[in-house]
Amino acid sequence: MRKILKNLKRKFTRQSSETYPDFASGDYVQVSSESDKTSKAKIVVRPFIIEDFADIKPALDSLREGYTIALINIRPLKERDIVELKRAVNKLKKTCDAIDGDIAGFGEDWIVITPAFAHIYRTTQTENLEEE
Amino acid sequence: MKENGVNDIIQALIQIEEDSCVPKNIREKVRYAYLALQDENCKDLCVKIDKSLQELEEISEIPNTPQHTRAQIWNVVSLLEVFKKP
Repeated sequence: MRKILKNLKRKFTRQSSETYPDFASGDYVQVSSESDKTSKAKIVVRPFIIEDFADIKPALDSLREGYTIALINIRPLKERDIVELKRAVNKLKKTCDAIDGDIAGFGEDWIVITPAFAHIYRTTQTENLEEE
Repeated sequence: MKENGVNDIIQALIQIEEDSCVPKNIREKVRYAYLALQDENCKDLCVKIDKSLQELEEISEIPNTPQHTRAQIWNVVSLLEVFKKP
């Protein structure tokens, strides 16, 4: 009888430890930060610097993939050749239309282009600037 | 309708590629242009056309492009621009 009771007790104690994981018994759960670093994000925010008209090609290629938000620094090209800059911005606009995305200037030196899933927030102040 | 038009454009580009008068670097770019149109990984036709147009615009900037090839490429570019419009 005693043996049977002991066996039953052992069985029940084992079951209870199996049902609840080890970390649940403690006061807190420690989340390792390494797993977050290795997980690959789907959307990439990527900066590009345009020093020449040909430099827009990698930006356009990554935009066409559809997972990149491009931050483009146009300052070097603006200082060098304003006509080339206009050509480059027109090309960027065309590709932006093709991907159904959004394009806007941030300050004087940066352009932001987003794919179709995102849009750029515009205040009434920035809309007035565009109209001017 | 659009798909048929794009197939015609691909045929025109293949003709340019097979032209022995055309320099090798230009033929290579023409190949990239029609491969972009045939790309099955990309579902959106607008994006395919945009990619192809980029390659063709680069060709028209190359100084040693033969005059008749340049005219053919401009013709293809204008056709692609029509398909690109919604």
